[in-house]
Parts: sequence; C-alpha cells; structure tokens
Amino acid sequence: MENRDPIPDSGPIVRVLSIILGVALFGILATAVLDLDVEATGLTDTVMERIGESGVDHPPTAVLLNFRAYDTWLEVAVLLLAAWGALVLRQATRLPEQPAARSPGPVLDWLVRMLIPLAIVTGVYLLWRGTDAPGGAFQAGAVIGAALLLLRLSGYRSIGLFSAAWLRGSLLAGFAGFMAIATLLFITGWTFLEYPPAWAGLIIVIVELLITWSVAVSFVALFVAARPDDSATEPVGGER
Amino acid sequence: MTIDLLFDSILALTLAWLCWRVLSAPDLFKAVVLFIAFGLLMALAWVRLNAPDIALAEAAIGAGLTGALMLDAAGQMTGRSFPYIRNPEPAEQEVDHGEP
Amino acid sequence: MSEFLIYGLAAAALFAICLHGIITRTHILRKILALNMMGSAVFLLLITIAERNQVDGVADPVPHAMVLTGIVVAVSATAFALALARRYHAQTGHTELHDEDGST
Repeated sequence: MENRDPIPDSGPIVRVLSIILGVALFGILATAVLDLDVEATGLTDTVMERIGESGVDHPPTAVLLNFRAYDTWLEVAVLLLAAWGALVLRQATRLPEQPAARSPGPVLDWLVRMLIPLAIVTGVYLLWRGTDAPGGAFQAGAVIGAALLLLRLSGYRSIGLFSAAWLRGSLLAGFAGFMAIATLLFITGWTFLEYPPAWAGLIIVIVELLITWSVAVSFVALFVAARPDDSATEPVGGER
Repeated sequence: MTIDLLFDSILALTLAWLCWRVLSAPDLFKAVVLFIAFGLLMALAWVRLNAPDIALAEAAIGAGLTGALMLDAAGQMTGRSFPYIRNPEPAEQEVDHGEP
Repeated sequence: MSEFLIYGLAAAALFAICLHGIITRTHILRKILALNMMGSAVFLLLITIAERNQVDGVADPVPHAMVLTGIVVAVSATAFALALARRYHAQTGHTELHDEDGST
C-alpha cells in the first residue's frame, strides 16, 4: 500500500494562515454572540398560542410534526437519499448476510436475547411518549435500528431477510406516507401539510410510526452498505 | 448557582479541548473514540440547556450511530479491524499524522 | 459570566477550531469529523439562544425542532460521505484527496 508513508498535513504557511483565520473568526463570532439581542423571545409565544390545535402537548414535537412539518418531510427525504446513495455505491438492492458471520457465543447470545426485546420496548415507548414528553420518531428509529444492527452483527438474520422490494419500501415508507397523507388532505381542501385539528393527533402518530420504521431501516442500510466486506467493493485496480 | 456556572465552564472547556484533540490526536482510532466522547459530552450540554429531546437524539444518533460508522471506516482505512470484522489479510498499520 | 455566555463562546471556539481542522488536516476522516463537529457548534449556539429566549420557563421550541432535524441531516450527510470515502479508499488506496495533477 502506497500510504505506508506518513501523510503530511498541510505546510507551515497554510497552518499559520489557518490559525490566524481561526482566531479572527472566533473574534468575530464571539462579538456577534455578545451582541445578540437580550430582549428577544423568539417564537415561543407563537407556538404556545396554537399548541392546542397541533394534536400533541410537547412543544418541540408540535413544531417538528405539525407547524414545521415541511422541514421534517424534507429531512426524511435527505435520509432517504443518503441511504439510497449508499446502496447505489455498493451496487446492491438487498443487504444479504455475509457468509462468514460468526456464530454468537453463549454470553453474546444471552445478551442479544435480553437486549433485543428491551430495545424494541424502549423504541416504542420513546415513540409513544414523544407526544407529551421528550422522545419521538427519530430517537425511537435510532434505538430500533440499533437493535436490527445488533442482530446482524451477532450473526442473526435481520435486514438480510428483506427482499429488494421490502428494503426499498421500508426506506420509502416515511417519505411516501407523509406525502400521501398531505396530498389526501390537500385534495379534501386543506393546505398542503396542514392537519385538521381534530385529527392532528392521530395523523401525527401514524406519520411518526412510518418515519420510525424508515429511520431504523435507513440507519441499518447506511451502516451495512458502507462495510467493505463484499465483492462489489473490493479494490478495483489501484495501488494495492 | 455558582456550582452550575462552574460545571458549565468546565463542560465548555472540555468540549473545546476534546474537539482539538479529535483533530490532532496522532492515532486516528483514538481520534474517533474521542469524537464519541465529544458526542456524549455534547448530550450532557443539551441536558444543561434544557433540551432533553436533543440530548436523546445526540446520544443515540450523534454519538452512537456516527461513532459506529466512523470506527468502522477508521478500521478499514487504517487496516486495523474490530474483533467482529472478518479480515483476510492483516494489512500494515498505517500512520495517520494528526499533530507532528 | 452567564450560561449563555459560556456556551455561546464555546460554540464560537468549536466552530473556529473545526474550520482550522478542515483546512489543515489532509486525512478524509479527519475532515469529516471536523465538519461534523462544526455542525455541533452551530446547534450549540442555536440551543443556547433558545434557552435564553424562554417565556415562562418554556424554551423556544422552534430551534429545538430545527436542531433535531439538523442532527439527522448531519448524520445522513456524514454517513454518505463515509460511504464515498471508503469506496474511494478501496479503489485507490489513498486516504487524502488529490488534485487532478496528483498533488495533495
């Protein structure tokens, strides 16, 4: 491998210039921070005024899934694109188990059996509590994704069981479900991504469920698709 | 009150110092582990700033998922491996020069 | 010194340190790490402002939602950047980016 040689960092001139730039930037940013308006109240009043119509009691969740649902919808789109990009780089439509996956030892096996149900319960709890306390779809998705990943890394079958259609469907569920509900309401006379107050709570829970599943599968796909131990990502040419 | 401010100051200084160490630790693996520590301390800062939602997300996503991805990538790029990665040929350890 | 000042200045310092890191470090992983921490610095400033702008003990929820969105977007971008970097490393053996003429 050619990079056994130490890789030099940039030269002394760049280094000195960069330090000067960094100190200057810190000075400017610190001045800006000190200059910020002390009397500002932000948007708290605006949010608290209308939170009764949002369908949930926890202000950040209300903003995330109702008042600024557009941001969240596009956030799910970013996650979808990233996961899709990783799959494309691997030239894969499925993520089958590696043949040499280790058989878990007795301790790992016991731990996995204990942890997986716990992780699923924690994930669902986080999702459900998100309506009136800290928690929500993304935190829950991360926990459930971690459970899927733990299963895979300890040699059990998890995401490898998914067919190409299932994998794509799971990645797409959050984005498409969000869009379908918004479009449906749009057709029936509401503004795009506006929820009728009476139904908002139910809609938010449905959308959060779909997002949780998509987030979990996307995280696993991002992790698994980046692993190199696959013939598709062996070095092609190069200085090996 | 003063104890709170003392805690905040120490936390802020530790964050800045960890950030510097992540960028300058000579060993890339060490840098990634320090990055995970940075994420967890960041979660502590979110709790101090009354943002438990973000603390949860940071601990699970920022420190956990990003950390795992980074460790895995560092393992490939330095030729070292985790116990659970099947590694056919142990490649030479590559030197990453953060700070000379 | 108040909580706002401490964390506000910490955010400024983190941002400056990470910018220095992005410029001077050549290893791709270090650049990605620096970029990620730079994002954390921005989030820290946003939440610090939200914490100060509270009304009746409720911190401004809009920056909170924005930062939650930001964390997920940051991890998506990081994960995709890592996938690209690993692919690049697997194909060329390099761990730093090269100009077209081959210089670092």
